[in-house]
Amino acid sequence: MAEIQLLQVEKKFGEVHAVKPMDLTVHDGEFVVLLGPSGCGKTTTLRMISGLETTTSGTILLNGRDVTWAHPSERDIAFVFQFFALYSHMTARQNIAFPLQAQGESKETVNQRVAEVSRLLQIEHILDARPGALSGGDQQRVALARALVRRPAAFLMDEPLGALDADFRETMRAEIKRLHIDNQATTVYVTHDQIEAMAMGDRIVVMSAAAVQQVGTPTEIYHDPASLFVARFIGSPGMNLVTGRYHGGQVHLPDCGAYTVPPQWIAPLNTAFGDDGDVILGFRPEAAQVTPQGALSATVYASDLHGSYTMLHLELCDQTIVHVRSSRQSSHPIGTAVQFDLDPAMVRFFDPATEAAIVPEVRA
Amino acid sequence: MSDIELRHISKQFKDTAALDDVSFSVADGELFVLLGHTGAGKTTTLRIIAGLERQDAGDVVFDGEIVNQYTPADRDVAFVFQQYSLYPNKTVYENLAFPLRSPLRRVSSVEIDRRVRDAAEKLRITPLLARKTANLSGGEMQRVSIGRAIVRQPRVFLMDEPLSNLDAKLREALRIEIQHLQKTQGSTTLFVTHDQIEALTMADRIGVLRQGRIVQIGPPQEIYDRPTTTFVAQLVGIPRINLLPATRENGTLVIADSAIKLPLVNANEVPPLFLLGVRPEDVRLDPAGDLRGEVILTEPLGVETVVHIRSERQTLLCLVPGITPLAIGDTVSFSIDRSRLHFFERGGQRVGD
Amino acid sequence: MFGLDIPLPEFWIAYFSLFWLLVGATATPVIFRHRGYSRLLGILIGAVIGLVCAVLFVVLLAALKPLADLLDRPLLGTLLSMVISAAVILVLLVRARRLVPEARYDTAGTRPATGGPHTPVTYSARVDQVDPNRQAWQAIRASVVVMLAALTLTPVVWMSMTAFKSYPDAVASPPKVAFDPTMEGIITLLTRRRQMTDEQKAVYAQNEDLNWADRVMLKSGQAILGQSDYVKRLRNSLIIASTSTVLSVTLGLLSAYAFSRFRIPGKGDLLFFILSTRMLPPVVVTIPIFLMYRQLGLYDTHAGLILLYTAFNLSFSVWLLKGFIDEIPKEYEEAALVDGYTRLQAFIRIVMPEAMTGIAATTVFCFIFAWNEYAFALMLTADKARTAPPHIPSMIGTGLVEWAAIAAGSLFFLIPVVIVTFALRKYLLRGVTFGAIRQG
Repeated sequence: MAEIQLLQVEKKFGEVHAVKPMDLTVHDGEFVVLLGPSGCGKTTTLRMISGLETTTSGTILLNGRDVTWAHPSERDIAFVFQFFALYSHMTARQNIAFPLQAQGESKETVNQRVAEVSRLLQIEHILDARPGALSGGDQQRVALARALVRRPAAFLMDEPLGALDADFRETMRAEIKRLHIDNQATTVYVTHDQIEAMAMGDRIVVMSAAAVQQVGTPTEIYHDPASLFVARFIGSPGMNLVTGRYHGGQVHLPDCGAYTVPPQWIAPLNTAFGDDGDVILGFRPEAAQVTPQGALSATVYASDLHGSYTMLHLELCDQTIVHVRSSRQSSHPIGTAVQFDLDPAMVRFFDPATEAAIVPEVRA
Repeated sequence: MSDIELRHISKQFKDTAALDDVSFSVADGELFVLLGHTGAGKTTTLRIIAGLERQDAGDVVFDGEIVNQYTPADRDVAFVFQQYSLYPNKTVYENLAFPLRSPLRRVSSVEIDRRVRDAAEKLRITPLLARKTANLSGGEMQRVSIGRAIVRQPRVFLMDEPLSNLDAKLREALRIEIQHLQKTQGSTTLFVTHDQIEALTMADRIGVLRQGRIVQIGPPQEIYDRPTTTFVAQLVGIPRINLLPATRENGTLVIADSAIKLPLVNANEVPPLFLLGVRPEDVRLDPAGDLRGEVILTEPLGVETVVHIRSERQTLLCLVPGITPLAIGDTVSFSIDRSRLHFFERGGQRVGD
Repeated sequence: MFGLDIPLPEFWIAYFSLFWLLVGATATPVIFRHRGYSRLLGILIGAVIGLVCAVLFVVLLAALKPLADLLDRPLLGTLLSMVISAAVILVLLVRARRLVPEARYDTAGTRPATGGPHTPVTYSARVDQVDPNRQAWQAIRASVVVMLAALTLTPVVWMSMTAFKSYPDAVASPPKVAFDPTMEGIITLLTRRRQMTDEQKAVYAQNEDLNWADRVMLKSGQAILGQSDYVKRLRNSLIIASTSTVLSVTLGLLSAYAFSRFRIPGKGDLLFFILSTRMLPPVVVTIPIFLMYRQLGLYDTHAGLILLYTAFNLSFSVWLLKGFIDEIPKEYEEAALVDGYTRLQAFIRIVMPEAMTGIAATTVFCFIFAWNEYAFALMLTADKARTAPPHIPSMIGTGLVEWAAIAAGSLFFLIPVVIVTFALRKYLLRGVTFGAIRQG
């Protein structure tokens, strides 16, 4: 069992909160991603789990053992850094063997484990090279091998793909995920790239400004964001958020038309706003469709090709820009007036005052 | 604004050829993106155009005039660096004003103030004018960097991977802003990047650079739909294109090490051994499909899911809209859109159409 | 002492007592704070523990003396017994750590998990850095360093005291720690005097406009004639050292920039050549330079010494400054070049402010070298351009050696360097602002 538990773990620098008190349980074998923009506290949280940073208050349990004040070397975890942290004066083989040698393992064990791990990561052919002579991707594989060779209770990874070229990230992402599926090791992974988080995580912890915004599976985070921040942050581009006035079962967009609220939302919206109030309507680019029968009107602001689809940027009457995913063939010149409609199963509503999502009563 | 033309530029560094006979042109008002991996020669090209490096052979031409002999100052170009882009220990205002105070330009302080505030307005950094650069976030620093280029009203904008060091979300936001600015100002811009999304969405035309050579030039649609080499095909497109070795047997195309067979139309133009390119969005799950495979990995991205399908020993990436209930180990039926196949000979060159 | 046979002179007993006091007073508060008590309590109790350790140390030394006597060499024996005693005491201290109980009442509010400090950690630190054992050892190491530093300062302190001693006090044996201060030595340093006979003294004493200095010297029967050469020498030192420092830093800065930014054929060889000028001991080249200077008429001139010091300092300043300039990203100047500035303007406006730390450090080192230089100053100057270092020992003349004057002369000589280093200390802290680069 390699379960990690954070109980009210908090970090302050002076009076400023770097991480507000948070609870988190990473189950045995789970791949949890800490996701958020720079400065949100995700790396600090990871470092606290590893012992590279002290907690201001709270408890960290590893397998039920209180490790809050255990030295980093006593915690049985392996850390993978963004900038590899390989020893440049040693060969790849020596780098990988280093942790085992530090633990005093016998020579045969060391050689056997190094061979095992290099076969797994397909780096047998570069074992005798120095890190300086290797590409970024190979260096990161060596760093991963060095972490794997120890067979620790848990893996902590701090943006390991951040220093790699864009297309190589994709390949390494799938590799790391496949490795995890094979060895089923508890992993905590930090990234600012929400695509990486969605692709790799069993569960995602979305953080912003030192606080946890939402914890959930990729599907939950994507389709039922708990706050405006999560709605905006997840997805590229994020969810379109339009402010309007809720009244009489419709959301009135200023000068732009009215959107009839799907039936399952009427009761929750009435509870939240009475019969009249400001509401934020949210929909993802793929939930909208340009169609002459659409209830909402806008003008084309820009359109660009994304390879397999076109992204239309539409300007509403109040100059808000929304993004609509469209097929490759669609071409709409700048300035054209269009109508569009929304998929009723995919709209969401938020309270502008609390920035929280309105929860529907009956899940469709 | 000016147009740029590069004629047969070559540059050697010690024993490696950084640039080998590079030629292309950027029209007045165009946003041209130079796309390639790190070390392909993109930054070197930009620096040669700016005058910070001297080419070994070839000419740099602005508006039909050869500018090889001009110093960087005389070429009147604006350069946005990837990092270390701002003058340290100066305020944002000072950073924006500094280019205008150079002895080359005689700009009055009234005019300087007007231009600085104008640029700050366009880039939405007016509240930051009094701040020291050390206190800015990464995104703010790059905005100021771009602002410093704008105040000069140069002939040409040169941007060296300005978004590479920013967070993914910030990159998205700034990308749209740069695009919008460029279109509204009509500025001739040469933008260098390794990120193909930036290239596809921003460019009027893309030039693909590989190890110092231009591989393909064309509008984004063409680069995506008709890549001339496997390198270009793999460079653009998320997820990456499936590139699989295949053989031609009579009228059928067989993907090596797999059970995938497809009827082949233009058999004559395709060599017996070749590489087949299929984009993941052209591989579709189809209960009536005649191809079968096993799911070995699913990557849910929200708007779509990348499904890794294995047929015998070959793996194929397939893009499925939305969420899929598929799990690892499931058997799936799928089909491939035959009108969207790319054929390449083993060496990498495009064949077939 | 105290009836014990301690094999150490009194000075060293005092020294080691101070050491143990320091150890106790720094290591104990660490443990106390970790267990939840106030730091002040820790320091007080720590001081007491330190004194106890000191006494224990001395007692152990005396006890081990018979053992030390077995070895033939007394110094080795003493050292050995000191090491053994220190080890014993440290072991006892380590054991004593556990005796400190956790504070029963908690001032911080939250009770930490097992092993953690009582006051919440609100700064960045690894878990093992907050470990009190580690911090206690660091305190002990710091105490050792402090005591070693104190040891190296002892001659300077002694010299400062000697400057204010009368002649009998200065040469007293055993050395006098407590004494009546007098300005005699300083005045002797700064003036020329003549010894008066008793009648002349009587006449002299009647004089109305005797100032305080005159009166002091009157006691020993001397009349002040005028200023001595010392002030002149000091001024020469100042002029020569400052000028050569300014020159070597300026020229070095320009050369370093060129070496760093431009492609120069044979750059590596040139740099090595520059460094090689420091590989010879200066003494080796004094005779050839002496002959050269005589020919050129540079002997005993300010210009001669300035030229020589600049040449010697240049190698150092080029190397040091090149290192600093290498660290400044060249994109900064390139941005200025593209914006329309010439290279020189870009250098002055952008690179120089960034390199301030390096310039300050180089200035300090060049100044110290030129200021303290003795061999060349001795050989290449006579009277006009002679600097202070060769002058001070020359005051050890025949007859009475004016120790107080020499001490005063050395003290005054020390002061400008201390001032310069102190003034530039902020710049000597590296990494003050390489702050335009941020890790996102």
